[in-house]
Amino acid sequence: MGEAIVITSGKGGVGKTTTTANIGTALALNGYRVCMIDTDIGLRNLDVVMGLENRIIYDLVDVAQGTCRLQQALVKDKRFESLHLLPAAQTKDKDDVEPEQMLEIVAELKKNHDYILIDCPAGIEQGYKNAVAAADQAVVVTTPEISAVRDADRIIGLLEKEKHVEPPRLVINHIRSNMMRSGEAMEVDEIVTILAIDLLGLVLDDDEVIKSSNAGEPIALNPKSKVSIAYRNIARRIQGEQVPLMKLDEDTGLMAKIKKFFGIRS
Amino acid sequence: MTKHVQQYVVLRGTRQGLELKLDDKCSFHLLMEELERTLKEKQQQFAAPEGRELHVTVDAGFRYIGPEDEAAVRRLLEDEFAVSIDAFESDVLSKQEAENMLKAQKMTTMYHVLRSGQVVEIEGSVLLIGDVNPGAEIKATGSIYILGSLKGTAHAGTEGEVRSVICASFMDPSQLRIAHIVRHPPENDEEEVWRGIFECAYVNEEGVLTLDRSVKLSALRPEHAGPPDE
Ligand SMILES: Nc1ncnc2c1ncn2[C@@H]1O[C@H](COP(=O)(O)OP(=O)(O)O)[C@@H](O)[C@H]1O
Ligand SMILES: [Mg+2]
Repeated sequence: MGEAIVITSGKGGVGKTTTTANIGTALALNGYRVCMIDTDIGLRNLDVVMGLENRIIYDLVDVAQGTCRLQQALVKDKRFESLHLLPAAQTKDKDDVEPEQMLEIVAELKKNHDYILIDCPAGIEQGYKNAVAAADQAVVVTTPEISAVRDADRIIGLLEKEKHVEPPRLVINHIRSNMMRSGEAMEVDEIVTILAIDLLGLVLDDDEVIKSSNAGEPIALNPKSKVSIAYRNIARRIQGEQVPLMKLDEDTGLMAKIKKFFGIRS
Repeated sequence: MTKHVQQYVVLRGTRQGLELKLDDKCSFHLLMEELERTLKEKQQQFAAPEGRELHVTVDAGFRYIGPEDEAAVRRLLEDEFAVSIDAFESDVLSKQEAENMLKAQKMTTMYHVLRSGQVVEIEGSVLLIGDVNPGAEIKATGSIYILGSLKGTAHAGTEGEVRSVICASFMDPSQLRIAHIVRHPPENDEEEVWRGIFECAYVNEEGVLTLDRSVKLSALRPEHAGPPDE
């Protein structure tokens, strides 16, 4: 039986889709059977990031409404036999899918997948509810920006009410260590202190992410990039391995730690 | 001067000033008549020095005086005889009042991280072991004590108790309210600093919401200081 993991954030554009595509790719790379579901109905783009747009025949709404069978809608990845995508509908409405239907679809997918990754739309409305309905675990994506952290906090509060979801884990994306060092961006410790959840991984901001997403080749396929290693490490932590966090070469002196503990900026 | 067999209203001087002791067995109607008669009879005795008001405390003994009855006594004393009432005392409470007092004294303990968008409302005081994050709000009719960071909004004394306080291990609120008094932290860095460790917020004598070190509370709110001085 597979595990369903929702990737969510509250705020848009922080990297949910990128995170889903790369964790999915990294898990498949490690030999797991993975299905990614794009629940951002009306604004689908997981298929584009994966380079699978042209292969789409049916979508999530078609499955929910019984227009096709689940297996018919699954798009097979170009690179991995064991990686599938259930794309979102581009032209339909968010309300065309109900949380109960998500439960059915995910239960069906769990039979022959190890991980089901659910890419959640921004916001806390119907789309969010659908995405969370069938999740066993949650990954909250944020960036070192006060507004993104605020929304992540709101989402964590909502996720904590969902008794079927394990305590969410955090991915901080778009990290620019020079901005953190100069105090222009929030620091990792500050974010983790406020959100008070376990850290799953840190992902640097890197133009290569945009390039690879435009090419439809998730960066996790590239063994050399730091961002790719970050995603692969996140995948390993999801698999249950203990992997130390990447160093961000920041000031870690005792005084700096004490200051951070009390939230005082140097 | 007419002599009464039974005196329902007794006026006497105490160390704190004049006290009107009201009988608690007779009917309220009779009591009011007697009160009026007594006041009329002793009008000269009542005459306060020129330009000054006469102050009394009213003691109703074991009679329950509801809000309407209290208003009637006040109307008689304050409007007709220009005597101002400093305090209205009674040895009995209505069940409702007693329940409210109990609730106000109740301390609720909770372990929680209050997150953006969450609002918690407590009757009585609250001890929160956890944080109040930015965008979250904690409200209590009594005081608020936080073993953690206060970064969101805290509102103590929501039903008007200005002697309520707000304490936090780490104080960095986005807004503080005590009763109807609202303050938010200064927006430029030159003004007083609102971030600190083990701080408390209270309303001072001038009615200004003020921050100070929590250790000052024993002096600021001696009524809650507790042992060993009790
Ligand atoms: N670590 C990163 N470095 C640089 N660009 C990134 C990174 N993560 C995401 N992006 C870019 O940010 C944009 C938004 O990301 P996306 O994953 O679509 O966010 P969401 O799904 O949360 O709306 C995309 O253009 C994506 O390529
Ligand atoms: Mg997206």
